[in-house]
Amino acid sequence: MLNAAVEFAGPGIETLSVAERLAIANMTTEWGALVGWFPVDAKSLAFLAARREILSTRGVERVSEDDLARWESEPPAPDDDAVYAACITLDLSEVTPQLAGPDTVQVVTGVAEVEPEGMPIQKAYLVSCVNSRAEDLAAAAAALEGKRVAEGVELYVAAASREVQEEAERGGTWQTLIDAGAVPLPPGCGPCIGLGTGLLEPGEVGISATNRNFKGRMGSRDARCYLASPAVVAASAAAGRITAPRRINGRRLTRRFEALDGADPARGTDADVRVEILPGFPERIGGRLLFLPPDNLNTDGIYGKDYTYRDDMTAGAMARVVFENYDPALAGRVRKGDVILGGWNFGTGSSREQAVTALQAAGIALVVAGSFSQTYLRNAFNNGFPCVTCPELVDWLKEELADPIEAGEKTIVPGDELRIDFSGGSIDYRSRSFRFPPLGTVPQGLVVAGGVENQVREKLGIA
Amino acid sequence: MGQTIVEKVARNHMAEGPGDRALAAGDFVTIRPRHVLTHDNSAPVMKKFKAIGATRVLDPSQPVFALDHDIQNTSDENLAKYGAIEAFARNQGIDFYPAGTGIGHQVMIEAQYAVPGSFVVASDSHANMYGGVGAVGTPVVRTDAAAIWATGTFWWQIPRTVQVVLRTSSWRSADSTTRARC
Repeated sequence: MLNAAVEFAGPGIETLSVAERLAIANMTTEWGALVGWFPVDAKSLAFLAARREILSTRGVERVSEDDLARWESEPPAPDDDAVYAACITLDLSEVTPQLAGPDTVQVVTGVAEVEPEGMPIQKAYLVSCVNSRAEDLAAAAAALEGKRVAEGVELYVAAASREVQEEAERGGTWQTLIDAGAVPLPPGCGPCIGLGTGLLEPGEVGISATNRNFKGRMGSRDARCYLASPAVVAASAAAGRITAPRRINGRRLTRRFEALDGADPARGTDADVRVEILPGFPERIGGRLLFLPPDNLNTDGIYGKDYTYRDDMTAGAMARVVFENYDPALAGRVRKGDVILGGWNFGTGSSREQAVTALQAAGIALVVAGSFSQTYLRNAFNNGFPCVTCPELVDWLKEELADPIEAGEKTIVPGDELRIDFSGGSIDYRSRSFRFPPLGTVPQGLVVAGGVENQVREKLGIA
Repeated sequence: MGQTIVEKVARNHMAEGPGDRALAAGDFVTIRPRHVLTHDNSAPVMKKFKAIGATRVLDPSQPVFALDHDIQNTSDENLAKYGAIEAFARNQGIDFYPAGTGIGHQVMIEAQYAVPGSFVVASDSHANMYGGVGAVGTPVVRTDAAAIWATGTFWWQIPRTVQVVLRTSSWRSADSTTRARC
């Protein structure tokens, strides 16, 4: 899923409301996906038409009658013979209330498994773009009808927008939540991003209908936070412990996964294809190899938080602390022109730009990796720093250097050179050749310009 | 060759890229997004915009500002920041949604900035949400937002696509469907 686009398909879609589709699309971000697309059908068209009506009462039109007609007769859709990297099948009727966490979105357990343990909670949240639309508030209100938030629990509620809140007020949902003891917050991100009142205190357990529960995000690093649906959050707030609103049998979700053959962007071009090289872009770069074997080498490892928010770091200072949290000895070994080879998902984590600019400050020529975090890649090319994807080389070198890797060496410097041939599309190392997907004129242009800000200046004709 | 939705929608919004053949995963292109949302981070993006030396937003109908993150913060500092963002929007003619209107991504749906077949970005990771109404929504970083304000475009690499097929083997209605978090 990492850095992939997700396309939803199948007969289950028509059973999902637009609000549910928005929630699921929102959560594809947490899968590491870059896009989470649902097809347009009668439900979405009805939603779009209704929104159009509402906007027109305010004298605003962004969608025309013609647009609606066009989306009905020729909805945007993939081709039947579109090429996919993989296909996953899910049966919606197997879905039972789930709990994510604590402290990570990726660990998921059925509520039915957790419920018998009687996990007490102190904070409950129904806020955020993923889960605070009218039908979410209504689901929570249904779970709280005739009940009150338990002693020792605080339930915070914010609508996704003022319009949603007004709709919930008109329908009585909002009042039900207030009557049950929910604390209303204004329509905004609030506790989801750890801003404002009602944050998690040390030692507390929270349950939240939001999209992220990373340690420290919603308050204290010494709190634990689970993610769940609005109904589970509301039912848990009333019970004072994690529970779902009705008895459910503990069915497990079955997920069928099929890796398909096509569209691997990490596959290189054929050997006889020459890539156009822009003037000013090197046809070849060679440099001493520094191999950093672990996968998921994150931005905290590359450039620590103690330096990230300082405005007074010179290039020299940055070069001295590069990779400090990963391998404190590395910075002292780097020579100008070195090439770094990393594993999979290189540069994952925060979007701090210094994870790239510190490497530039140290004189590193470029990074080759099995795969990159998309944010790292964006920061790299935005700063004119080339990154190349070559999983075959990483696979091969991990085998070749299995011994030092197993011995726990963090930085392996074999002493010889990696040579990247951009026009030929190959990386040459120890008389072997590995293909890589070419850098087209767009990334080359960014490198030649020395980054996107320079490129924008050029486009605008500013000196 | 058959195209995924991302390949199709990207092509419909492509300013630069391989013009003579179908787009494929791995291709680098320049995209002119229909809209770009920034929220409280409009302020640092304004800083980058000015540092570039740009003065006028190329297409003021493209950006959307919605203040949503720190709206309970009524300190002088935060209010001054919010005021500066609003002033910039008014000066440039950009649609501006003050604190209390709603979460930016929700505004993009309610106010119909994100619509079927459109390519809409935000300098916020949950832009994926626009896919719920059939738009291609994807995140960008702050520097990209500044570049879009100045030139109308940003660079992007076509991702591979994973198809997720949703089936339902029972009579369950939409009302009783719960969500799985993968």
